[in-house]
Amino acid sequence: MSFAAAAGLWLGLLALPVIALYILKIKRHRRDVPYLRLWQDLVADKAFRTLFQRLQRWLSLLLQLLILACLVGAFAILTLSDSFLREDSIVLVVDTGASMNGKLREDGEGGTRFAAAIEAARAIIEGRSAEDEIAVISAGPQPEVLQGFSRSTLRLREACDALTVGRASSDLRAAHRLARDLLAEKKHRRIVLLADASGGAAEEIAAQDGDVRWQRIGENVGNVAIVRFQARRNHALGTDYLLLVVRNFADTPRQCRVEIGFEGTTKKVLPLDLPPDGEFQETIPLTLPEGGYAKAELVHGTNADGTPITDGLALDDVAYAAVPTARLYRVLLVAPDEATEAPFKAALGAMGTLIDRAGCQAMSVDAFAARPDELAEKFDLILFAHVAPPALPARGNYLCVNALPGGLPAKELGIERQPELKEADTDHALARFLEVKSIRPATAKPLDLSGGTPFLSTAAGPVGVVMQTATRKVVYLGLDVLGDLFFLQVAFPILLRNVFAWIHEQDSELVDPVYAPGEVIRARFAVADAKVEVGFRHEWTRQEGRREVDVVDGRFAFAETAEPGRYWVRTADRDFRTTVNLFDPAESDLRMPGTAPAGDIDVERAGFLFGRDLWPVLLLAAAVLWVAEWVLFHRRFTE
Amino acid sequence: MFDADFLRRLEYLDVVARKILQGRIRAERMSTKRGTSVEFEDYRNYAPGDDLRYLDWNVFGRLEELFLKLYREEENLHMTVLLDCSRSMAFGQPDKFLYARQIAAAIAYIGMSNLDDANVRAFTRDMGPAAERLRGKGKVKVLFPFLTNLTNGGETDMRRAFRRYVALERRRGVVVLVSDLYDRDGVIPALRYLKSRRHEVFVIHVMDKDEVDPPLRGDLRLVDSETGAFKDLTVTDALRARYKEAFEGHARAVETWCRSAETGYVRALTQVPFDTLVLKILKRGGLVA
Repeated sequence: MSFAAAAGLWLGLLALPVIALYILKIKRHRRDVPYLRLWQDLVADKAFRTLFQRLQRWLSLLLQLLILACLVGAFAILTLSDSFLREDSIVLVVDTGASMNGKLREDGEGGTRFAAAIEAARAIIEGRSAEDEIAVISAGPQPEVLQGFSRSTLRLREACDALTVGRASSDLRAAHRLARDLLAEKKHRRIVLLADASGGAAEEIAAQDGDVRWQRIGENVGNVAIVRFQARRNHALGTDYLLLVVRNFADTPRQCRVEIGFEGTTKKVLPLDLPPDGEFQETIPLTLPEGGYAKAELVHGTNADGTPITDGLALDDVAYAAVPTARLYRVLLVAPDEATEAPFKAALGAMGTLIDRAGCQAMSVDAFAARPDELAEKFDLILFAHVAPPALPARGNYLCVNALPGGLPAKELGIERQPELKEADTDHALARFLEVKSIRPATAKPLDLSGGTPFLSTAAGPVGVVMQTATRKVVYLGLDVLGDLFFLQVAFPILLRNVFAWIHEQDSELVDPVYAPGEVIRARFAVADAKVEVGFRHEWTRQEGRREVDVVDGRFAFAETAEPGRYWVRTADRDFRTTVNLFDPAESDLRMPGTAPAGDIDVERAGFLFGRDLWPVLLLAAAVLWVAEWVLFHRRFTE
Repeated sequence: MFDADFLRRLEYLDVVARKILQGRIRAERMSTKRGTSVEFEDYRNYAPGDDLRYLDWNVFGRLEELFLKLYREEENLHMTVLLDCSRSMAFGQPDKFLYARQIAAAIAYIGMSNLDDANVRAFTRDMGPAAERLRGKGKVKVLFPFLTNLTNGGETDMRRAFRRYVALERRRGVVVLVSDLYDRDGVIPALRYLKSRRHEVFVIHVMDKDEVDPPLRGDLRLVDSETGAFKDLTVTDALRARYKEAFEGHARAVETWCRSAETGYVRALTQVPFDTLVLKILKRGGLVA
């Protein structure tokens, strides 16, 4: 039961005796007079005043009920707060996430949500009881205590002044946990959450924790956001593509357009007509072997007066995608004869975006056996096609097709005719994107493994196995695919891309292509350099810079990613591009669940609504009403 | 009611009254009636049936005519206290009825000791019980029990009561009316009737301070103590002021008439001790002037 309902119930019950007492109060008392005629003659001309006097009586009753309501309200406040002299420990958790940059109202009036939150925080600080102590937490991606518990209004004001809104996703749950930690030793705990919906987190926290009061900031505001923009390279097809997802976080349809550019040049413009809660998804093919940054920007058109239309949040109207520079691999093809060699050459030759044709070479197994270590060092991959050496060098990367080299922890079980391949383990790096059912090998050579990890099998045993040591990686594919055009033209390039991705992990991107604001950029694999250089160009502050980051045990971390924009990591020999984008529906969705009150109204009333200090006001109101009622009731006898 | 203190105060009143009345009034008054006293006044012819003891034989010897000697009759003052016993007299603190009986007792006592004949008659709508022909102080044994046993109740109808009084008491004399003067048919017509019968009327208007300035305020139901009729009204300060004016007007109307009719009138506020009031009356000489 809410406070209002309880007070209403009490008021309703107490109103009955008040009304009864009032009826007794206005009940005419009998007074004997010796000679009534004297009075009768006097009041004959005053009958017209009776109606007004009756109205005065009911007005008096109304005032008494109001007095009762005030007293009940004051009593309830004191009761709910255990004791009106108690000291409350209050933690103000102010959402400083990206969504707080959004509009307070749909019409743009009232400024940003963050400004409203600050105003509300100040109102609470100014309106608190002198006994209350308050702490201030900034709820950004990493919650931060700006001010520990203090009763100093000056310090608390300074903490409010120190609050800044970020462009990262806020972690309200972490901030809530931090607030609970702060309040662990406190007796009377209260948490005031000054936040918008934040993807339902605020409402969930308020529902789960009875000490939390969620002060809603912001109205129901619509917003269109880019929720995904990322470049991918299709090594199999030798092309890049951009994946764009735009979502309408509004209860009304929205029309806008998205402009996609690359290194300053507009490549594509897509008009969007988004239904309520609608999503637009588009895959845009591009061929950008040189790599760079693609930019997607939402444009909402202009108003009738030419001013640009802005939606709820501008932060999610711009996104960047890092397109990595393509790397070409050198492959040594070892085959028993030209007939075997030809189809593989043709397949490798078709993979222009992945294979360095000039750097590729073919030879016999004897030629390989003459200088295996040198060749293993020179080539990125050595492909054994239907032939294998008796032993592999201790270093190097190898793909063995239909032939098992000696010295490996496996032995062939024999030849399996017309094998039926089982569904591959799609989670395995080598089986990704492979359409196994379409592969029709003439024969298979399953293995009896004593080591390694299978990723492809027939009924007789594993036919796809990876075997790895610290310095050597071997992929075994025990299939005779020379007669399978589908395999050679479609599946083989995919497999080869997977092989490169696996055995040349260090040649993949050192960092992820996209990070969220505030997320730490970490190396995905060890680097040999002692330092790396991280550069950035922030989208909103327009700041550019470089930082030298120490590499410890081959790893590094860069945490200055609060600002969305373009980032890159430079090692001794390569640049790796990445981006920081706000792809967070929780921040982009500015709608309020349920009936959202106007932000500024709550702000104005925040201090009073929250504080127990309302009880003296109610008592004062009761006293004033009592005097008014007394004057009103007795004025009738003095007029 | 009539305790030792009361008697002591009556004695004091009696002494004071003698001093006041000495040389100004006499207990004996010359009556215009001829009677059997020792003071000769006239002769008249004898008529059969006359008392032969009053024949003047000296005149008969000289004139041989029978003449009867006429002497001036000495007539006692006949004073009647008419005591209002209606229910309205129960109002006040102390109630007006008690006060009125004390006044009646005092006046009757003085009359009994200084004059010759005193009567006390109760009335409401009609004449009630009476204590008659009280002469001498010894009659207090009759007077006091009579007054003590009187009860009040019923409405006032002075005109009817006075008509009955006139019918009962044909002798003229001093009539002292002790009443709060509340009569639906009006007081003045009744007084005028009494006056027309050549009574010497003296009005003692008994009133309580709560009548003069009623301590009433608020939403009240006013109930007439005599009739039981009621009126709901809100008594405001303004209404109270108007009531006071009306009450004063009512009393002043009676007083004005009394003055014009050479009738004594005095207001008797129950908060004033009865002996003080009686002295005031005696000093003014209105009662027996």
